[in-house]
Amino acid sequence: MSKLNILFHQVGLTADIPLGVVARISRTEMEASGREYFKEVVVPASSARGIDVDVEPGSYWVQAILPSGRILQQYCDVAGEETAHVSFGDDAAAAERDAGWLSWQTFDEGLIPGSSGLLRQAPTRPSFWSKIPSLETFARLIRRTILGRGDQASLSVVACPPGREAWSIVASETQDLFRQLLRRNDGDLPAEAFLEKDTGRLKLWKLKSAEQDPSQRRWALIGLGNGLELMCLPTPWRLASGEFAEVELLVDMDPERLHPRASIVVRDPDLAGLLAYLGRGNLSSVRPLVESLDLEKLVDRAISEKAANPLAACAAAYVGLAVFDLAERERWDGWLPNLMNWFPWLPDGAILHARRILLRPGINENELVLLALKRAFHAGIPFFAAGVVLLRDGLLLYAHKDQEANAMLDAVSSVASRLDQRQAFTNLRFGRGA
Amino acid sequence: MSCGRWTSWISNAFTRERFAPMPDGDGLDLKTEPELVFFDGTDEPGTHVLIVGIGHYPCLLGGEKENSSLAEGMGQLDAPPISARKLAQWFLEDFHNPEKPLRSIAMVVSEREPSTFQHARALPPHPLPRGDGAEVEDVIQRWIARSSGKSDNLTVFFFCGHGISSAQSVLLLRDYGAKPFHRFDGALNLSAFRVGMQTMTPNEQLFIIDACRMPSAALDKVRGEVRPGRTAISPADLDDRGGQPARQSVHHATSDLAPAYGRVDGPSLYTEALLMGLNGGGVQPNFDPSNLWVGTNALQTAVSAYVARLAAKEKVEQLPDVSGAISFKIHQPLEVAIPLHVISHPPEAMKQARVEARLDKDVKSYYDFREHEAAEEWVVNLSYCAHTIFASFHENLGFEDERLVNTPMPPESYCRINCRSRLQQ
Repeated sequence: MSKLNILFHQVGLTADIPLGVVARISRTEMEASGREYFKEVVVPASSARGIDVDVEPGSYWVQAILPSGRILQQYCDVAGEETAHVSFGDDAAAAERDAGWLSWQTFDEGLIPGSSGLLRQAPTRPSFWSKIPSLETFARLIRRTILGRGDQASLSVVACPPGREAWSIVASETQDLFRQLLRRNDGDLPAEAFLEKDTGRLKLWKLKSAEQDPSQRRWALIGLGNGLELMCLPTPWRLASGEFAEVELLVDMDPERLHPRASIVVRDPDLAGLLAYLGRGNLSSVRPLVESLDLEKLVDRAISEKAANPLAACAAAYVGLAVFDLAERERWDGWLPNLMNWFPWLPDGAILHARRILLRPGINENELVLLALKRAFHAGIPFFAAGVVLLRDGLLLYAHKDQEANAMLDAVSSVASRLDQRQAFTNLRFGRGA
Repeated sequence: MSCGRWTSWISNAFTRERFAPMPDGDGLDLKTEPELVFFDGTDEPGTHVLIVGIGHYPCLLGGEKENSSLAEGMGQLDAPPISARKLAQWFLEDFHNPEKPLRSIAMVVSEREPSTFQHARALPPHPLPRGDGAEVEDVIQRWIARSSGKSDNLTVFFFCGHGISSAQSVLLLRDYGAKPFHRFDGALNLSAFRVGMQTMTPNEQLFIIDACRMPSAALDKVRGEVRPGRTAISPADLDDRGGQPARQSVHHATSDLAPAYGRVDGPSLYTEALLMGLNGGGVQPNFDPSNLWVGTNALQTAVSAYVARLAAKEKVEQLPDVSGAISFKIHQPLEVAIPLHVISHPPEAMKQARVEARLDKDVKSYYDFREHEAAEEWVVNLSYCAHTIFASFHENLGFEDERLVNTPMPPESYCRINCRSRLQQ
């Protein structure tokens, strides 16, 4: 039998991402049987290994649909009883970049290699902020851990109170935000972190999540040249092995852009592909990846086992609800409520439960949707950007007839207006206050 | 009847179904519904389209009431009215959905002068609404009223013009900035509008937003405001539609915080790609291979590929985006057209080649270096079935003629002709 070996070559990955990129294989000629050949597979993002696909000898067209939506294409001839190799990602542009240490960040094409270095794909906000006292001033006044300082970017990890109080804090003006956040930053501060790499323009921090009370929400507060970003830290994040995942936080201080950009990546090989597609919102082609993931098994493990990772279950559920026909996933009616009930500190669980009902409501279940949305609000700001949007959209449906929902909508909308929708996890942007 | 008149009658009969002239507007009051350019008047399930193309903004740069302090660098646009007309033309000539046939098309077009729309199938040309905020709200209300007769209806909302974003999309209408202290009175809050539409009757709703999603100083100043811009509708009670919101697919021309590009004196890149996708590149084989439909998911994949190619040609970058991956059928092309890119190995051989794409014995299309501009790639639109590609080369090259069979796969395919030297024999 002949084979196609397809690889998405990501230089410097410390672990293979088995379910990395969705690819489509089509034969350029009809098969001997007179049928057309078309197949969708999921290709690993790896420094070495690819996936083998059994094919008849012939000529094939292979398309890789990246999380960014970009389509890479290659033509390949397969001879009899041989293996032909198709490798994406190791082109000349890739060779230009010193990409090893950025392999997890570049995987979703949030960064595009260019001749002058790495270029952020999306433009950032223009700078029209007015001045505030520098973070250094706050550092002198209030006890916290500063985990790294660059020329223009500094990072703090702050504990934001869980629950509904977070909405009002984050919705407040920037100076109050700092004071309130930092005032509450008492006691042990969270995970160890270190500055992994500093090129002057790019700064990469790594944070190792560890056993901690998951209801204690932690945020990365990044002071950038012209503004601030408050990034939800998805910790603790347990891998399938039971160990804790590292979280990477990259700040891009491209001087050609008016405002820097920060992004978070969880180094989970099993879910990196899913999170990349979720973060980029490119769910129209992600179905093969989700089917390969064996969603039920993942969710069962993520929420049932002792070493649970309900955040992973939420990521899977956000994608699954968007991709699958509801009739295909009736078993979800059982575990989605568990995600809400077993992890009351997790706003996304309640949001997903509400969304599930909305998409296929039973008799008199409308009330349950509103209850779940309110419960989500009381649990605090969602971990996932999709959760913030779904919470806002859900409350919009009920705000005209429910006063409490209307008040919640004001708070959620205020926060949502700061949301960076191009990332999987909640990332809020602030300008300098008056 | 003479041969010439028979020919003319047959020709007219062939085109009659697709290009039958519309009634002259009897029964329709175009004064109260000036946005209508097509209306078939039946109550059966169907497709109701609203197309908004805002090219002229009096208060932005270059407008007759220019206010540079609020323009934020935004000026007049050529592409939106052109894109709007091209899409309307496509719906009248090529749209085919036997389950939900075309029932109505409404248009709002903002140009420097009042706009009309002419087409053999359209209502008699008349001045169209020009796109002020209050006008657009009224048009939307009437569009919803027309499309709410049946829950099986499909609605299509298309907007082309300026857009800004701050986690919610705001579409700028013609009178944006006319009220300097209430500039968003001339804007539509897409996020709120879309959520409100989820509570309306039509079960399947397609939104196509061909606009930038750039951040805006103005939106930042009103951060915290729940809904900047007009919402056009208030959400109804979900119980009125059984508790389940409508199924929506929202397609954006570009990613969040990014620009979308349009041509001077031409349609936008996205509209050009959209039409390619609707014409066949966006067919979804999984619906039924023998019964091809353009669906929302495959359309998004196709448009992404085409925009990337068009943008690269113009040396810009633009990546379309989609909110919600709800899958439903849009259109069943009567003739599927999928781009096939034909290249050779070695590449330069194509510059001295003749290549034919044949279906059975018919030459559907061909490239000949002696007649066309010599190029290393020939792009041809073919239907979704096996074609035979014949290639012959200038005798000086010494290559054998080649013949291979190729089925173009959506959204686009490649066919590489491996040139063999005659000398090998």
